[in-house]
Amino acid sequence: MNSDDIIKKIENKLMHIEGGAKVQNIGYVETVGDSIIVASGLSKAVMGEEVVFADGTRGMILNLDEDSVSIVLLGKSAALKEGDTVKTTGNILQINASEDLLGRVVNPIGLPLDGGPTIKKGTPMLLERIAAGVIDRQPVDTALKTGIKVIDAIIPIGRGQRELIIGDRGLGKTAIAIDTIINQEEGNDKAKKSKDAPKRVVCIYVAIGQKNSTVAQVVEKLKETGALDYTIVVAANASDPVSLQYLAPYAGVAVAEYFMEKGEDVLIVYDDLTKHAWAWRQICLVLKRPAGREAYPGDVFYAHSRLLERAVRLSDKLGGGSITALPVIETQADDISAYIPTNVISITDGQIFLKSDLFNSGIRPAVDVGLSVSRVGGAAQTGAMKSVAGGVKLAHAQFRELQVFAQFGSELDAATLSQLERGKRVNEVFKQPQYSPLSEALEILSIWAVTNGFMDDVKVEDVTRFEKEYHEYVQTHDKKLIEALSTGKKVTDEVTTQLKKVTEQFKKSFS
Amino acid sequence: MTKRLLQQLVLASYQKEKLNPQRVDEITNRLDRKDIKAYLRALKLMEQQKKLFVAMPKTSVYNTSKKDLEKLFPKKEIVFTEDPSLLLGVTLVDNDMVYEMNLRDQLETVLDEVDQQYSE
Ligand SMILES: Nc1ncnc2c1ncn2[C@@H]1O[C@H](COP(=O)(O)OP(=O)(O)OP(=O)(O)O)[C@@H](O)[C@H]1O
Ligand SMILES: [Mg+2]
Repeated sequence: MNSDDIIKKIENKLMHIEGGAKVQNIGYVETVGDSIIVASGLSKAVMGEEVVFADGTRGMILNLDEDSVSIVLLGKSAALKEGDTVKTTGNILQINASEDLLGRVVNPIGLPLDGGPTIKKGTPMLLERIAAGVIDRQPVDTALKTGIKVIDAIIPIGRGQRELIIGDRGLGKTAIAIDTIINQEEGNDKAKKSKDAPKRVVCIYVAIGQKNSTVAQVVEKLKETGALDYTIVVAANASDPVSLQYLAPYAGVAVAEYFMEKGEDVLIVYDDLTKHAWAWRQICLVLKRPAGREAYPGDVFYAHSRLLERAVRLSDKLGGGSITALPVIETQADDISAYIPTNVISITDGQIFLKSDLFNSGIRPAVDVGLSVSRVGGAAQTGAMKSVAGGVKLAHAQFRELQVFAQFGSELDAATLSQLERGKRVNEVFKQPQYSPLSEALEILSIWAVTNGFMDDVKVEDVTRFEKEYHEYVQTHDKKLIEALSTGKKVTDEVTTQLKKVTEQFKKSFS
Repeated sequence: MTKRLLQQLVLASYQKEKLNPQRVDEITNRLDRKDIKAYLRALKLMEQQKKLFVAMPKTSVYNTSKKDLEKLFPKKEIVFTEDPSLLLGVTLVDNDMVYEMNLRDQLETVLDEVDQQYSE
């Protein structure tokens, strides 16, 4: 930009700066508590309004009493004391959103946490906003591919859906979310090159109440895989004020709405809403609001429902953008009937349930296929995936039933035994290491081969190796087939014939 | 002590819109330490509400506009401070409302705006 342009821009800007009297409402700090400040004055303040203290610390109004207000601090301040002044800003809390945020790590009020430059002024987006109404929405019909075989085949997720990831500590909840983000790379590349491909997916990872080191690891991984280029990390860690932890998911979705309103598709991960509920509980206890079940405030359901309602697929009239939400909930001892889990299950369109016994027996991702469900994603599955998903779903369901029988040690006939054996191999194919999401073509290859009996004569412990070599073989020997499976279109008879041929060829070389 | 009672005590401390020292003494003698604190705070607030704080860059300018201000705020006691850093114009503080009508504030707004646009 040359200097003339800069000057012109400032001139333009000046014309928009309001002239005349600036009216501010002020107050005085009465008591300084743990992250909550009570102030007198501020008689014109409104609920949720942002305020600024004399030392520049920002806060948000959370309680309006007759002659005082309660303010949560949005940063750390050691110096605040009784009698300090505090001013209203006239803004309901908002975050500055722009394309510049991609690749950045910010806190819920938009301040960078990655040591990078400050984010240039973009569009201010309100943290709290009413979700789009019924007529502004349209049904979910495009797949959001996770690259994880068991999920894409059996619990498919569509753009605009809300799918809960739920399970005990350390079972790979974050892993599923991060793999899904990493998996958007291929699709985003395609979207750049071709107009016919589905739109790119902008990803937002909201970290709530986690350790700094855990978040740093996630960011590092995203950087390493190149996924950070299309990802924004909004973080409020365990050492940050609870107010920021409470606000983080709303800030994340506000940024998501910025992209959605431009017609883009957004994936947002809330990791995790259990800690979000804790943060809200802590704030409400300090504010002395009445507590209900498990000491959570009465409106914790509303806190989550108004957040998740903002995940939506907009109508074409509004640009057709979407927000897909993957909230994460941590359970205790696989108990999904606790207060927060049941709440969030009832608000989402399905859940991916991870179980510790599966994880410990080596089935990773530890998805309990029987208890997991996706209520709308089926409509969004690609034709190609649909052609193989039905078979594998059935095979896995039969396997789960037979397993129970087999435990009784009863005599099994040959047909049942072969079903059991096939089921074991399906289970094996559903195992997938972390950070290695697969393209849809490869997912289909594996699933097709196992459900059509091509792995029946492979030893269970060899299935993983078989799969790997099989993928390599087809990728080098039949690029056309991979292309045909990548279109997302229904698998035709012709393609099936080719699949058979190539698979038989490969099996001759496999030992 | 209830808020209502406190409010009544504060009102009772005044006679003809002025604080009455004897009444204040009588009241404070009958209150315990904690209540005196609350009472003091309420009195301060009341006193503040009766005042209008005016800041201008020069006392001479204030003297010429004093009459107008008194007309505008007939019930207020006007407290003036000289503040050259305002450059031009005035700042009024009426209870918890602040009216910035001065050059310094305008310049600060412009600076903020430029900062946000061009910070790197
Ligand atoms: N598919 C997988 N294959 C092998 N290991 C995995 C897989 N997914 C996750 N893990 C491992 O399991 C451990 C826990 O994973 P992760 O941190 O994602 O779980 P989490 O449920 O998010 O845990 P927390 O409750 O602590 O947030 C990690 O060490 C991770 O490497
Ligand atoms: Mg985790």
